[in-house]
Amino acid sequence: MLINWFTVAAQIVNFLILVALLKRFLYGPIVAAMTAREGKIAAQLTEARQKRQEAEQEEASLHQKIREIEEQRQEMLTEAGRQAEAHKKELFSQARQEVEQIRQKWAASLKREKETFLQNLKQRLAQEVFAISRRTLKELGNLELEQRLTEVFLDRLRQLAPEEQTAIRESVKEAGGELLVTTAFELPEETREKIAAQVQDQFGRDLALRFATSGELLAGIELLTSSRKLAWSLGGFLDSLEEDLSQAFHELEKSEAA
Amino acid sequence: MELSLDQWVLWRWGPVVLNATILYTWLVMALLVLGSWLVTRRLSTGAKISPWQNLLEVLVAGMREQIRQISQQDPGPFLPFIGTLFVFISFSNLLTVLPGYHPPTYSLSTTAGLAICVLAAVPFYGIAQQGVRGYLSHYLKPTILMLPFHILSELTRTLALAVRLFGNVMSGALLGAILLAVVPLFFPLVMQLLELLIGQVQAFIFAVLATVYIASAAQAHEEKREALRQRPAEENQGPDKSKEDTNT
Repeated sequence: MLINWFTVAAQIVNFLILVALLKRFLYGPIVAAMTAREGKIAAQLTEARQKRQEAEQEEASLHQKIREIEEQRQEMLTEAGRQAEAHKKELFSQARQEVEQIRQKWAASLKREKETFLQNLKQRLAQEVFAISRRTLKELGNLELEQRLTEVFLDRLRQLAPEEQTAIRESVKEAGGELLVTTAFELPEETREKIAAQVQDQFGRDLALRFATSGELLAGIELLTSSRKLAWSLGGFLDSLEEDLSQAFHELEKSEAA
Repeated sequence: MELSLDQWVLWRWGPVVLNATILYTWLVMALLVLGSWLVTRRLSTGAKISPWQNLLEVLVAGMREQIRQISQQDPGPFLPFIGTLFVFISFSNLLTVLPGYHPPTYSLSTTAGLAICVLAAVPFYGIAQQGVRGYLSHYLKPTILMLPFHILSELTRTLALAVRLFGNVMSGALLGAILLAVVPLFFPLVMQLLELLIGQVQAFIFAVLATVYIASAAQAHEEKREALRQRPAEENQGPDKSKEDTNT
């Protein structure tokens, strides 16, 4: 008999016991250990992947920052260049303005000096002429010169153009029939009467004549209505001399500017 | 040379017999359990593991992979049973290198016991996976006429399992003994090595066949669940995917 049924039953029991024991001591722990290790490895892999991802993000953000910094640097450089250029232009224009101001000041002071010079010259000339005139008048004798001046004045009055005479007559009427005769020196009564006769003869009998003296005339005689003036004096000559000098300076300036 | 280890009785009390088969079986069991306990009482889950743990992990992982490939199912529930079948037979045959040792598989009683265990395991796993009705309906397919043939098939393949293992192991042992008598030197050693190889191959074959039987019983339910799981996916992915599925 090859098969002993008791042994078969015993072997079945043995085998089932072995299954239970091995499940307890072999498969359970080993599978648990392997699962745990797989879990650990998976966790580590996940962690590594996460860290790698984080690192990549970090890298990307750093790259971005570097790019931004580079852009800012470029912007700042451009800005600085622009500002420097603007500043340079400003400095140039300031310098130009200053130069212009200095030039204008210089021109103004030159003009002032010229004017002062002219003024002085005029006064000196007038003084000189006055002095000469006075000396001449002194040396020639009072009466005769006055006589001559008055005669010349009356002569001129007589030779006055008819339209001018009319104009003077009109303006005398407007001024209420009053005429001012200004002389450099006090006139003698005789001369005054002569002038009055001549004036009244020419511009109307009912004229009232008033006599006055003025140093500004230097030497000469002047006939004044409210709007008209008839004069023969050294002052007038000096005025025209001043005008001539001024004209000459103007021309000088123009030629300099050109 | 005795034909059966069963007749080598060491102790008897009424119907209870302690023979060499049972004794050697206990020896193998003790070695297996002791070895497992020694290794698994200090298991490491880190990167560094002991060589023995490594060996056991390779063994367990290899068995799991084999079961997964053959059954196309999760190896978890099958591992203790099929794994123990393989480890027990393999270790029994391996120990033949020790002088004075006779493998328990040399006895037809042992192989019959293992085969009966497989016979019982088939409905056990089938019912566990599909329920009683689902498993029993499997016997009536495609018609009720097939019922006797199904039952016959279950019994014959169990018998075949038992006899195949016993025959191979016994033939190896006998061949060794006969050759030792005929050609005393060297040649029996080569045959002994061959016998070791055959022992391992037989362990593998026994375990694989057990897996196939158990898996085929548990398969139907698994297929149904698979179909249920794939239907919504097919609707989502269009007709191309379903064609691929039917091909595989």
